[in-house]
Amino acid sequence: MIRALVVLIVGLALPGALPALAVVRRSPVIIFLAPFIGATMAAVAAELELGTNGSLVMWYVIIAVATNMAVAAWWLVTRSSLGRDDPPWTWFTFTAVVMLGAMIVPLTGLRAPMLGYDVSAIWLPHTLMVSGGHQAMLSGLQNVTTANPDYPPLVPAAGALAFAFFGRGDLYIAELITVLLNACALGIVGMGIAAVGSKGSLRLRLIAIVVAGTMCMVGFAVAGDYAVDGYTDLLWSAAALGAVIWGLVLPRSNRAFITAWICVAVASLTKNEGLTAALIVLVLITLRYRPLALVRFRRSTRHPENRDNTDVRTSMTIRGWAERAAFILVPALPGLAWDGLAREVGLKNAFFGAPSTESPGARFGPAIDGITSHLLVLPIAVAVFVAGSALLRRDRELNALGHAAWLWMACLLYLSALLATYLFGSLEIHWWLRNSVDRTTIFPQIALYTDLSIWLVIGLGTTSRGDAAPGISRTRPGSPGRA
Amino acid sequence: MTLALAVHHGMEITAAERSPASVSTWKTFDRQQECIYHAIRTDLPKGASIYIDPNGGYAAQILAELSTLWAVPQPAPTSAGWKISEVPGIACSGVSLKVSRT
Repeated sequence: MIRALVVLIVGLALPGALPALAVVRRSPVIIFLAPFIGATMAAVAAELELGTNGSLVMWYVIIAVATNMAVAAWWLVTRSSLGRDDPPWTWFTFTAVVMLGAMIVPLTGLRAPMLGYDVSAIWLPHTLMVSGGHQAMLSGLQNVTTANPDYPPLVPAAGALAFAFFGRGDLYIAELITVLLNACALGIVGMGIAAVGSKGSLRLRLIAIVVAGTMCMVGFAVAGDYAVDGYTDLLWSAAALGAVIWGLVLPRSNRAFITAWICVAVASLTKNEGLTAALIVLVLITLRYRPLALVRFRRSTRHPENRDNTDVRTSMTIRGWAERAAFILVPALPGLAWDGLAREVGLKNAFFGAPSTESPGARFGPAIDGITSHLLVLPIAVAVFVAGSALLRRDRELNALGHAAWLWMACLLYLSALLATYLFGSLEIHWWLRNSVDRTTIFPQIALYTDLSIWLVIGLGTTSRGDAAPGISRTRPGSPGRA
Repeated sequence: MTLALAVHHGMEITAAERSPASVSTWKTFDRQQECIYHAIRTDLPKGASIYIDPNGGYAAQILAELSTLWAVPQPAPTSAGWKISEVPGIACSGVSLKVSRT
């Protein structure tokens, strides 16, 4: 475990530290974001290893050095400094200790060196192939006996870095890296929930941090053994959820936006369904940051003289759509690049090969039963969503939090894509559901639990609104309070 | 309440994972894997084309995993020079690697 922590800190977090500092400044989320950035760089290095030549380590060093130099240059040019509104170090430390403490109990499950089936069948072979250099990776993934060769490279790349540090004598270290990345993903989710109460009173901030720590434990509970036996489903699910919280729930800011982008990149580079979820979340984030009515709003309020100027109108419309396209494509680029590269070198997809003998109609019932059997929290989440929207919507708006419907839309769109996959995929539906649906539904499950957590923080914040500090309250900052 | 129940459920899962029986079983499995990993590198020449019977289930997947970067799995025995399988034995904590020419 110590060696895996060394790889996480030295191999992934250290190269990602400066970019993470540039994004989130002195926010405690930096602890979990830095390894995410390192893992993303490792995944891009694996793409370059497959697509061109050379080894993972060579490309990783090049990418890490180039990224850090670019960030350092940007810092020098903009003369940016650490924000004054960042939390004090004591608060930083307290939040980090609570979040890390919440993960200790679930991680004690590592006392048994469990190894999931897919880890042996897919992830460790892929990790060894990435570790072996371009030719070994290409020929290994193209071998017809290799399982799911088109799976994205983030987890194998991070594991291969561990092999670069300590050799291939201990394969289990690669699995430990995955587990630690799972914890980082849940840490980012937790830090997002803690941030919901970060501008409130002392009591509210404490409540938010406790709820955030609880949510980390819930994330481990939902994933069960999959959280600690090397499966990657919790990683992409929690990363996508991190993007939902930072991009669709927390108040709009550059910091939250870029954090969401990084989470999206991790989800898209971890698994195929992670790419699907990432694209869905990206579209929603883009619509929140660049709503479709924005161009018309700008035109009519800022430049009424341009109302009849077709050229200006067209130019603004094109610019608006170009921004939206960039907001989706830039963070999705590494994931989409892997998808294209996999097709280019002929890596087969196991789920959409030969057409299934079962009709979509025959698959519909079992698929719905399978999915809903893992959404037991749904009725409670619906009830809380309805009650929260009726009673606490104003509190949410006053604190610039995104509408709760964003999170639900992300969930529902993902579930629709999941259902379509089960309906039109080629595998026998009962076998497929038996072997996957408990993992493919982790994302909506933890998203719904997170919605409960956020409403809880908002609700408790409302009950403590008599406190002097601004935050979750019914009074706008700077405006007179209600009698 | 819902969150508390979920946390409780997670604590139960963790307790089962770190129970003495679970720890013992997985440590034995870990030892077997490490031993088979070295046996493959001892009993087969580097780059050997091998066939692993897919009917071997999980053990076949383990062999494919552990032979990665040393041997090259083939989809059919006709194109392979060697056939490997995991059989009951004493060499690796209850199992052994069986290697034969095709």
